[in-house]
Amino acid sequence: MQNIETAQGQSTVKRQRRMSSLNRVLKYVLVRGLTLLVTVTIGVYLAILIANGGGYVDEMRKGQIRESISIQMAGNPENAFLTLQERRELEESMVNTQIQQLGLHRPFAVRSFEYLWNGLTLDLGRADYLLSDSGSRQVRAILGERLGPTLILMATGQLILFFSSLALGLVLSRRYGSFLDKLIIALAPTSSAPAWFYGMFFILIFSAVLGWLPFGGMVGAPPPQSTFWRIMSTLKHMILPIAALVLSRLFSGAYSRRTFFLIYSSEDYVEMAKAKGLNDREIERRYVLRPTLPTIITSFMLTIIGLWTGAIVFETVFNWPGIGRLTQQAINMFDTPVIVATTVIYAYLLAATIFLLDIIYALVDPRVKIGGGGRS
Amino acid sequence: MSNRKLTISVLVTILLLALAFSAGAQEKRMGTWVDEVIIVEEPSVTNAVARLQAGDIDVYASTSSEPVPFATILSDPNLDYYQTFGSYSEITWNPVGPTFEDGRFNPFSVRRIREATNWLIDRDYIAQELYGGLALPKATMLNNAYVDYSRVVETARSLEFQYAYDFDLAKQVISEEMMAAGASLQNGKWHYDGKPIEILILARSEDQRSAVGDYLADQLEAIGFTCTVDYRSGSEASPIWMMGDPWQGQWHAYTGGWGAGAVYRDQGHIFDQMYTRRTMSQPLWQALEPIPELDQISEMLYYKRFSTMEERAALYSRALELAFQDSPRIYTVDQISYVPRRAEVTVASDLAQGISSTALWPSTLRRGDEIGGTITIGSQQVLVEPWNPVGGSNWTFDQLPMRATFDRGFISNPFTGNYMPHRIERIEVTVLEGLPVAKEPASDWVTLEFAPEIVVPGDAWLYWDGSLGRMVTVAEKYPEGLTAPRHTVVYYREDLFDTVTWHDGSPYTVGDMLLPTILDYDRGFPESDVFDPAQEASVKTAMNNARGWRIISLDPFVYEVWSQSWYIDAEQNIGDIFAPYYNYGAQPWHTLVLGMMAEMNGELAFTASKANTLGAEWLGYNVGPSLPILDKHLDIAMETNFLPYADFLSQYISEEEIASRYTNAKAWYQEKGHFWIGNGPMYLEKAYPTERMVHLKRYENYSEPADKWSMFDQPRIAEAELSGGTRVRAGQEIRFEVEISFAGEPYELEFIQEVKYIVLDATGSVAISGYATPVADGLFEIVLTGEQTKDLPIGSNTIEAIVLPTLVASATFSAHTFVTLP
Repeated sequence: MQNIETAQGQSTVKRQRRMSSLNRVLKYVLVRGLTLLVTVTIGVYLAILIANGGGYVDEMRKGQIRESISIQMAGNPENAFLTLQERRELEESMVNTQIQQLGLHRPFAVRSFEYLWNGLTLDLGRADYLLSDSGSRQVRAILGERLGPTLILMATGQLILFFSSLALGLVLSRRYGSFLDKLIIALAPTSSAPAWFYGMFFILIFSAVLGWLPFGGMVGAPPPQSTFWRIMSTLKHMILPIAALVLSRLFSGAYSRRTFFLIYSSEDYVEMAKAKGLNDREIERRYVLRPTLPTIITSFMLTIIGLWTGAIVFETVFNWPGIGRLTQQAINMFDTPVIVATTVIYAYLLAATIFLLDIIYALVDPRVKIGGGGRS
Repeated sequence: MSNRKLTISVLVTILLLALAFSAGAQEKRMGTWVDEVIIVEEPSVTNAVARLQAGDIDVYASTSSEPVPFATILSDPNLDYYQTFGSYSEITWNPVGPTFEDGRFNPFSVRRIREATNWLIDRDYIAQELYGGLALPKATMLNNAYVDYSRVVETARSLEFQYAYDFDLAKQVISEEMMAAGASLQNGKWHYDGKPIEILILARSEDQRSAVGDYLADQLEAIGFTCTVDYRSGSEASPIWMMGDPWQGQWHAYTGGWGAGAVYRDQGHIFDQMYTRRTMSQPLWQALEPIPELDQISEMLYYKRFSTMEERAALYSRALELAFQDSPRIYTVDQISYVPRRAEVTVASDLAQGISSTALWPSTLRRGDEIGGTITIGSQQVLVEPWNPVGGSNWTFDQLPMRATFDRGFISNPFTGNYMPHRIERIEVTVLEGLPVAKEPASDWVTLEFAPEIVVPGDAWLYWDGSLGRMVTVAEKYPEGLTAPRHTVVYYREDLFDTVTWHDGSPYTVGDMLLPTILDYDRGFPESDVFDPAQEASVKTAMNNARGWRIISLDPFVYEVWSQSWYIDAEQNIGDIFAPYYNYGAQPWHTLVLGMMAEMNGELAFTASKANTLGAEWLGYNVGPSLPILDKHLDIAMETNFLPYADFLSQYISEEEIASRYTNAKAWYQEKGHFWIGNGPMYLEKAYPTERMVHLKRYENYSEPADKWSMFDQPRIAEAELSGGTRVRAGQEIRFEVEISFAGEPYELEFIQEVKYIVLDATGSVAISGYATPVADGLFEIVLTGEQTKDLPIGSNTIEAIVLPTLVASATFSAHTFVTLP
């Protein structure tokens, strides 16, 4: 009887513990989710305020409208037949029509919250000035057209960079102190120059002087009609930017990974594993790589979401039609809906990634537990 | 003759015939020299020059004033360039005062101080050092590349001497005026009410104008002012200097710039725009207090209240003088921009804005003597906004490919700005007596007459009334009768309807002229299905200004138009309904209809503003989401044989024409995948929006020979060398020679309009002026008689020759100094 009660009691305790764990997890998820949502909201609203100069951009836009209409009217000889008052009335009418069509007659404070709500609900709407490459005002279309080229270039480059620096780092950690190790350490400072800087040199050498590779763009002129040759042409156009991207970060990336692996290789538990007589590969897999996995996954995930933003200068140097150049255009033209859309999507991706990473950490790293402070 | 010999003879004959035929075919190359043009995006001029060197592109169509790439072009024998003169820079002063709202003293509220700043800045230094030589010093508002400069050259040159850099004079005048205003110089710094006077300079950050801001600050510091330079982009600065209240004193000086879209023939409106309150409504302009005489003359020039060119020149000259005295803005430099190209490639380039501004670029584009082939053009941007002729893109980057695809009644001369006939055979212009209208001697296609009164007949159409759905006649609107200052009869070429075809194979017809004309008015009527609120005000203005038009003959097409506007060049008193949407391209009536149907259905809109209102897409015939919508409406139009405004247009467009037009458009869309159907020398093969490329191909059915405009492959800007005696005794004769050439060859006399000369004394005053005498091709002679030299001031004098060719608007100057002895 006592055994049964004890068993029931243990079962209840287990259930209570499970419930308690579930509650903790749910509470954690809720609190974390709300925290991230508030962070995203504040971040997006700040982006809206900055993009609009706190409302100053309205004045700039109104000034541009009036300036262009005044100059347009001044150059039209037909207006010479109007009285001064008629000219003024015509100009005011044209200016007011444009101001109303852009919604500039309404206070910025009101519109800023509309931008925020539309952004947070992913109602991306219509751009103020920018058009998609094919001529659409829909922000969804504008971003959609540029996302593909950015992903093709940046994903290829970043993935090559990520895995090659990881592999090279591992190799160097095994050959600590070798000539190759010293060479990579010596080359690591070259990564202080950005990818576009290498890009300019590559263009100079391989395009301008040698004429081997194209200066930029995504495809040859005119674009080949067959899919195969079009892909070949795109690949050819990707060589220089990817080379610049990889070369600019490879040495510092490999160096930091190598240092990282070396630190983990000198942990006590690794020494213990060595003392137990485990072979090198086993030690590397179980005692070095696994503990470093959360950091590597974090780095990988941030690299992946970083693709969304493209790279403004890099895409400009290579004349690549990606999100980075689009963002630059949107900022230059103060196109708030496009700026909000790129910001809010990035913010959501970042928040979701952080949220996911928290959970993944718990799965892959036994040292991390969710909430409560208790130890199981 | 044996069979063998016969065979050989036949073969030889065939060969000779083939050779002759092929030679003949070469002579008859129509449309364009090249087969294909590819326009690619290249935002950076530095990269563009590298790509030109590598042969990756052949021409870079965007203008630039960056000195470093220019140096590369000059040093590379494989590269060459065209020059443009369309942009200029200035310094605008905040003229309000004497004090701002907060009590700070504004030195530039004093007219004499503003005038003295002309002496304060060294325009040669700005041009050579700050603009790296890619600019010419500019003192007056006139650009010497335009014809108005040569019309008043004596005054202009005299004023340039008078207001040349003189730091000491500037300092002296400004000091006098500052003292008179109550300011004091303490420890080398100007003070007012015991506080130092701080000058706020708003400098544009995008280009060399930021350096001009620094230079201006240095010069003002040197005469005792404390300066702060605030660097801002155009859009950041606009709310401060242009839209802001000048009385708040947020700025004292702004380094501005202006551009011309074309080679101006008449800049009479500029004074009104720059010096009075009338043209521009912004707070800065409303704060101007022009010298009353300048205000009055500006208005007279704007409204063309003069009856002779001499009277106009006198008004103009006086306005220039007063403009210096008023100086709410002072001019710094005319920028010289360049259009880079490979040396073996030639193409027409407009003197104001380069290749993209001239309709002649496709016809003149050629690689050496090559026939056929492909030329790649780089452009700073490609496919910026949707193309539609009603309210589509007017970006110069879109105009470049667009201009190749549609034809015109007349062509604007890229070097002189005057008009030349193309599909128009001739025009008869009648203007009121007393108006100073004249035509060029070579313009035999223009007949000019003067009449004491020009009465508009009652049955002439005035405009399309969208509320009534019909044309309104002059008699309806003006039962008391109507007169106009100008009447033009336009005779189109007899072969117009036989030779002009749209790219989809449809023949050009009267419907292509009438539908755009109706649509233009209809969009301004709230009752219309295609009403656009943004058009209402301007359509009302157009209706009030309309003076009537009437078709005289349908084939050959002849029509007459009466107008309130008139131009001093008879050639420009033209009305062309062949290409009504001149700035935005052209479309046949049957594709315009598709756009109208889509707009009526709320799916697309011709203008960006209406698209915003409807929440619809902006209509683009070339690429994008509009195309499937247009195709859908094409199917509907084909089913119903739809014709808008059928009550009116069915008189001109037959049922058969309607059906065949839609069938042609369908076949075109199925083959090319777009609806940009033009009638120019090239057609749009395909636009690549993401890759930012446009592929154009030669239109083989284009009727005009490829060499029709070959004389415009490069501007024949004259080079002049003035030489002669170096000393003369007062009362004795002295001779000078003006050698005029182009590319080392003497300039033909028939292409030189005139060679003026002016003799300036040491103070910059014009002592003598006159015209040189032609001697031979490339040679003119100037003789100063004893009568003339006896009144010359003793000492150093400068004689300047001003050469004005007929082939370009740009005058060429050459100077020579001589000494007059007692």
